Formats: sequence, C-alpha cells, structure tokens
Amino acid sequence: MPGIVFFLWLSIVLSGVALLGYSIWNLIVVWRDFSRIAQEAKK
Amino acid sequence: MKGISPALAIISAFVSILIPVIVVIITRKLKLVKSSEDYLVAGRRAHWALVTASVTSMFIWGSSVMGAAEGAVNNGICGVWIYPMYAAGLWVFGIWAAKLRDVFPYALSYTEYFRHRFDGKLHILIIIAAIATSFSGAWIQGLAAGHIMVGVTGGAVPYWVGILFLGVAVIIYTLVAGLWGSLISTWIFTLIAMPICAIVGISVWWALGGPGPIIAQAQELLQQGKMTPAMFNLFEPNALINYLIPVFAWAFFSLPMQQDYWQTAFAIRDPKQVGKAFRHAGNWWFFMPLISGSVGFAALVLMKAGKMPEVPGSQAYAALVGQLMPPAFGVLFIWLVFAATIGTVGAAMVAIGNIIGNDIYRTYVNKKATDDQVKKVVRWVVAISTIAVIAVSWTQMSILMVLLFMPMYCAPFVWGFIQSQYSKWMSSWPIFIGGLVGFGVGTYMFLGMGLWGWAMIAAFVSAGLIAVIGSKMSPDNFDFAVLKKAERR
Repeated sequence: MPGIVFFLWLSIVLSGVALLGYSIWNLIVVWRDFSRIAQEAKK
Repeated sequence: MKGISPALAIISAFVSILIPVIVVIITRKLKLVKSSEDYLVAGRRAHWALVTASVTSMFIWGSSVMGAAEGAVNNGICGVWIYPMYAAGLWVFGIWAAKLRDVFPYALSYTEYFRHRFDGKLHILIIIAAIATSFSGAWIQGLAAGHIMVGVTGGAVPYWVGILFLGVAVIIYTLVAGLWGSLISTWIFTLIAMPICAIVGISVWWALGGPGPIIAQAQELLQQGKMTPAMFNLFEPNALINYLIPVFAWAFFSLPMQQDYWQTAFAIRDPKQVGKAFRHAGNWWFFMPLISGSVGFAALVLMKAGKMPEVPGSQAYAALVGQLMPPAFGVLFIWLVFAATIGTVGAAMVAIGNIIGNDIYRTYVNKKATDDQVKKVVRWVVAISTIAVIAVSWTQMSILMVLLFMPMYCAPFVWGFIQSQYSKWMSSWPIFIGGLVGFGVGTYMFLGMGLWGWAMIAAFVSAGLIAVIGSKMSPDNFDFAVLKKAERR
C-alpha cells in the first residue's frame, strides 16, 4: 500500500508540473508565430 | 447528489461556445482561408507547436477525463497508468507521419495516398473505414459532452443539452474556417483545458487530504471484502490483457488510419518538424489522463465506502468534482470537457469533409470541379456530419465501449499502409482481401467472443500476413516518383 500512495503522489505532482509547464511554453511559441502572421497580413 | 446549479452549468457551456466565434473573427482578419488547401490543410502554413497543441486536444478528447476515470473505476489502480499509454501511439505516429510527408508531399488526405499508390477499389474501402473511424471519434465527444452536463449538475440538466451546445459550437467555426478554425480553437482550448485539468485534479486530491486517507479507507474496504486485492495490483493480469492491449490496439492500429491526425501532419509548415510535433503532443497528452485516472481511483474507493453515490464509470469524475468542490470548480470542469470535445469534433468533421470533398467528389463525381465547388461540397458535408453526430449521441452509451471498438475499422489496413510506403512490391488486391478477412475475424472475436484486445491483434496480423504473402506472390513495382509529382492544388 505505501507503494500505491507513492504512485498516486507521483501521478499528481508530475501531471501538475507537465500540464502547466507545457501550456506556458506552447503559448509563448505559438503566440510569437501568430504575431508574425499578423504582421505579414498587414503588409 | 450535490452538484452545480443547472443555470450555472448552461451559462458556462454557452460562454465556452463564444471561443469559436472569436476564432472565426481571427481567421477572417488574418485572411487565412482563401483556397480549398487553406480550408483542408491550413495551407500547409501551420507552426509545428500549434499542431502539437491541436493534436494534444484531439487525443485528450472528452474521454481522457471521463474515460480515464472510468478505466480506474473499472480496473482499479492499474487503470490509472494504462489509459495514458494511448500516448505511445503519438510517439510512433510521428515517425510514420514524417515518412508520408516525405514520399507524398502534397497530400490533402491519407486516403488520397491509396488512390495514387493503389487502385480505385482499395481507395473506396479505405474511405469507408476512414469515415467510420472519424465519425466514431466525434461520436465519443458527443457522448462525453452529454455525460458532463448530467455529471456536474447531479442530473438536473438533461443529457441532450450538452450535445446540443457541442453541435452549435462546432458548426460555427468549422463551416467558416475549416482546419485553421480547428487548429486555432483546439490551441486555445488546450491552453485552457490543460491548466484546468491540473488545477481540478490537484484540488480534488487536496479536498480528499491526499492519497494517504483514500488508501487508508481502501485498506478498510479490503478487510471488509468490499474491494478485492486485484484492485490494488498495478500490473493486474486481467487488466493488462483486457485493457492495456485494446489501448495499444487503438494507439497503433486506429490512430495511423485517422484523417484527423494526418491533416494536421500535412498542415505543418516545415516537413522536418512533423515528428517533433507529434512527440511533444504525446508527452503532453500522457499526463492529462494520468491525473484524471488517479481521481477516478479515489471515486472508486468513495463509492465502495458509500461516501459518494454509485454512478456509472463514465460519470465518476464529474460526479466527484460536483460533490466535493465548490460550484466554481464544476464550471472549470465543464470548460475542460467542452474544450476538448468542441475542438476534436471540429477536426473530425473537417476530416470527413476532406475525404468526401477531395477523395470522392473531386476524384469520382466531378473531375473538373473548381476550388470553390470543392469548398462548397466540403462545407455541406461538415454541416450534415455534425448534425448526424448530434443525432447518434442522443442515445446514452458507454464512452469506453465505443472507443475500444474504433480500431476495428482500421486495424486490418495498417500493416499494408505502412509497409507500402517503404516497399514498392506491396500490391493492392492482397491488402484489399486481407482487410476484409481481418475485419471479419476481428469483429467476430470482439463482438462474438468478447476478446477486445486480441480481436484487434488478430485483425492486424491476419490482414497483414495476407497482404505481405499475397504481394510476394503477385508483386507490384510501384514508382514512388509518381507520388512526388502528384499535382499541387
């Protein structure tokens, strides 16, 4: 049972870090690309 | 059961459908959709990270929250990690997608590959399988949208309300913006859904006092005989056979035959980044059902302890959120599932529109069709398909059951499809015959014998062997330069 408690904690912590981290990274990268497309559309 | 108020649930769903309206405005302002290629594969101008987010959304679906929790309710603790293994499909798909982009640079759909590589009869068979698969994917989203409304309001809002909101949202943005609309919507929804998923999952565990008290409760239930030791086995043999194998079957046999994924692979601006986009999507996706599944396991323990009403596995996660958390969290949860479902159904509808408009209408019905005519046909198909999804989702069914049968349409063709990109001797009729035989064998084992996972493997292996042996007996000598030269639209 201690192993299952550890497994559940691991699932919660790793998921939290990964889901939030990937979201922030992706927002920055794609936002920059859309800014570029918007500038091209203006030209 | 305590849940959020019906009015709050409906207002939340309504707000979530405003995002597609914003997306339509953005795509018009940036003038992103001019030709049918813009509509169907985003003009092959999408950044790979945009595709990563979009694919993540497609793969998470409504079912990765509801279905992952359902898997843990049905299978115990091993259900928590088995569902996330769907991600393995994306890691491998990245390799295949990069290969097809290389051998067939101007493809609009993967079904089109069969037209150029083989002949009309196999092309038609693949089209039927591809449409059935995309439609099933959208159907699952419809079921999830209905279940979420019932789950978080404790049954106060009828099942059909969620489906109706879903249908309206999808029609708004897919009709106008096509794949660009799908990519941008799914991007926004993913960036909303992922943090929400983390926040909701962590908050539920916080409210429960962490895994310790839940496992202590589970130990008492084990001693009382209300739970079995199998529910605490991380590698429970029955679950590995009956749950993990169907998961891998979907990942390796269904995913590579879904136009929803291929069209995003064709949309990436730089062909060299295709594999990277799918690898990151796989990494990202892995963690969402992991936390949802862990909450599903908590729901299982609470239901067995009588601290939570017994609900179907599909509604366990939503019911626990509705019971434990303040109404604001129920609203977040509605956003989470609608985010995943609205984006994914849109992608599936564009996929079906692409196949019917490009593969059937332009190839067989009107060979001299103009670009505007194709776009018009695709839009009609998208509208009719969306209405059909709403109609079939009206009847409540298990999300997991529909999901598990999906690979059956395509498993028999995967071997032939992949190998034919590498081997010029793979020929058409053995893949055609093998596909039919494999489908028959697999369907009998799935529906007649209840051997879910083995049915997919049997379908894949029997069809693949027929395809390879038949091709060796009657080899083709295909010139891959034909695909490179295929006309750019």
